[in-house]
Amino acid sequence: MVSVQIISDLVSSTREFPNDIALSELCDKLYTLTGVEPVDMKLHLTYLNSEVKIVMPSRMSKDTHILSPEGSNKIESITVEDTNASSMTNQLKNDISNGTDVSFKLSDEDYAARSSSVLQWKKDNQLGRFDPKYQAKREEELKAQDDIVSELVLNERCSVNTKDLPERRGWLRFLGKVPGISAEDTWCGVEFDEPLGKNNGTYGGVTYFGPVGQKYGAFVKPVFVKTGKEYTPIELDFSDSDDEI
Amino acid sequence: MREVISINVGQAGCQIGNACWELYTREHGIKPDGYLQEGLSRPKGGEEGFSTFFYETGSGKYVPRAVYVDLEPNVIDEVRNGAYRDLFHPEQLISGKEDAANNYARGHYTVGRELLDDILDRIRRMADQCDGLQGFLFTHSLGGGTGSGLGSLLLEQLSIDYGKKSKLEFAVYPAPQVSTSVVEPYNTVLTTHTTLEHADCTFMVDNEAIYDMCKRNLNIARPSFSNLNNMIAQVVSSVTASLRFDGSLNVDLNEFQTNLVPYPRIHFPLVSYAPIISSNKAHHEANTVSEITNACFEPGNQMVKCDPTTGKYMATCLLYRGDVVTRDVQAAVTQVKNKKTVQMVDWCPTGFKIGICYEPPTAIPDSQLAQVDRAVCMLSNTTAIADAWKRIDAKFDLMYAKRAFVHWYVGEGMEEGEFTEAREDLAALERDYIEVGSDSYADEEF
Repeated sequence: MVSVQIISDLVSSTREFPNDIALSELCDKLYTLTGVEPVDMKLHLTYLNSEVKIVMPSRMSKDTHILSPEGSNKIESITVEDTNASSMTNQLKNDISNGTDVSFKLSDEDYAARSSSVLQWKKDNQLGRFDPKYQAKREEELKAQDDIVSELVLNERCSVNTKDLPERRGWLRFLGKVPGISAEDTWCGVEFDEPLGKNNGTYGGVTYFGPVGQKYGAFVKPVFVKTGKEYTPIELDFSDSDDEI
Repeated sequence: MREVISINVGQAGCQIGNACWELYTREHGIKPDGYLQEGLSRPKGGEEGFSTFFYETGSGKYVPRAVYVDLEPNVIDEVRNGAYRDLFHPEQLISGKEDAANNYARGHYTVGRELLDDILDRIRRMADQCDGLQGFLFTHSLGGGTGSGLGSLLLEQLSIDYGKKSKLEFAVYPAPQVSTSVVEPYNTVLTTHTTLEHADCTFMVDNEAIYDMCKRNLNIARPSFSNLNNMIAQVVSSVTASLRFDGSLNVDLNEFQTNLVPYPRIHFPLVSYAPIISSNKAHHEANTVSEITNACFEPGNQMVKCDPTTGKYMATCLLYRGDVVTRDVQAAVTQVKNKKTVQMVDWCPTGFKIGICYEPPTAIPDSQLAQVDRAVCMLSNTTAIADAWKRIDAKFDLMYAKRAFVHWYVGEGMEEGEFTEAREDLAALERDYIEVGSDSYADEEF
């Protein structure tokens, strides 16, 4: 057996083959591995001493033994080139580099219709939004949100106090729904004075404000936000320390 | 007795199996020929634990409760002729003559099916030797023809034959950048669909993630498969250590499931391991419980490439081995729970489970991985792992849009409808993960 690394545009894999494998059989194996049709193959054989030899299987006898070592010179890798520009592997290669979007989408209806899914589990067991308590709490939260939002002034200075971070200040640049996060909530789009946010005003591919500098923007729940002229940028104040000297 | 039968399928599965059994035998003080090392009167690990993975013959030889299966003979011939040839009963090593040609359908419907009765028969005989079989541990790749096709066929059959016995898998997930065969995305999607309702818990390992670990943390310039498999074996060993060694905080197969899998389809915990350090660095590091626990949250210690800071956790299981004290573990756990980046799902009960095995890990000579006093393996059911499905689904779509190579499968008697059915199921799985991640109150900022 000889261990050879097989490389093609789409594949890289180390495989073992019998030394005396016939060329036609080897090509069949390379076909199921790389998808390159034997008639289109151009093989670049790289030897242990870095020597490279090119083999066109379509022009050679079917029972040549190309893997048998020539003296101590063992084959290390075979690069399988596809000479047919319109072959399947070349088409796939082009689709990959062009970023062709052919992604399968499962509709909401089709997902909801499935009998075993997390959605169905949540429904059956009244979990998450299907929990009556969750609904009550949500409604309360949304109502409180509306009250807070009515106090906020757009494009005014603001102060943000989330649970685990010290106060951050900036400008309130956006007030409204961000469907990518949740359908019902109102979100405050904040442009921070310093890069202490999460994004640049864009969420889920939609730009809601700015775009501002990377990490200068974030969408914050209204309950953590206050607006007012008094929230000037926080500056390091060294003046006091001078007095002490 | 709570026996576990290991089933290694396909080239990757068998080679990982080899690395695992080498490690297990070393850990329990057994020589490659199955007899005890000099100076031992009993295998290490305690009677109860040890016998979950080995049985003793009348002559004092210990035999793994394992079956090796491959459609082509080469890999298993290496076992038959290798250093561990005397460890296994010849009946445990099953190989065919014709390979699966990287094709799920050959492994599942044609070439693989011909071997099925024989394999089930050998598994049956092994199961008959057990007093209280608790389940099966699979190792296979998702991308290879035998691993995906025959692996899923066996899982299906075991569900029929053994009902609700636990079935855990260690599955090699295709690397994000390079494919090991052109139809790897098909095989992965097909096998995941088939096994989704049969496997209770699947631990995925991505060769590219492991490759990077070997390169970066162990300074191996060009990691070989044997380097990768030794690394994987170390992880498998950590997960199974609590089954194999008697200890104070033991976890059995059932507990993994109950704690890690809140809903059957969401059964793909992310595995992290620490410390991953080379022998020449090991002496300069303290590797405290707190350090190794924190290291599990580093992307470089994860077996699958994904970003857990963007996901939500449903459950976490920390399995410590070696020289650890409960007080340090408790402190580390508090630390983890307070991490801002660890967002738990808050609308359903989330699990946090600790396992401690006082036997330290064993390093395989030449594996570069240092011999250390303690290590930890973290299993976390996080929605971030859905990234892995997104990646492979996108690759599948690109090929299936052109029906590329679908005729290879249809030619083996598979119906084309199975492709769409499988793809829909995986799309639903992606949606399942989104559904798990939604409805939490906790988020305050995006």
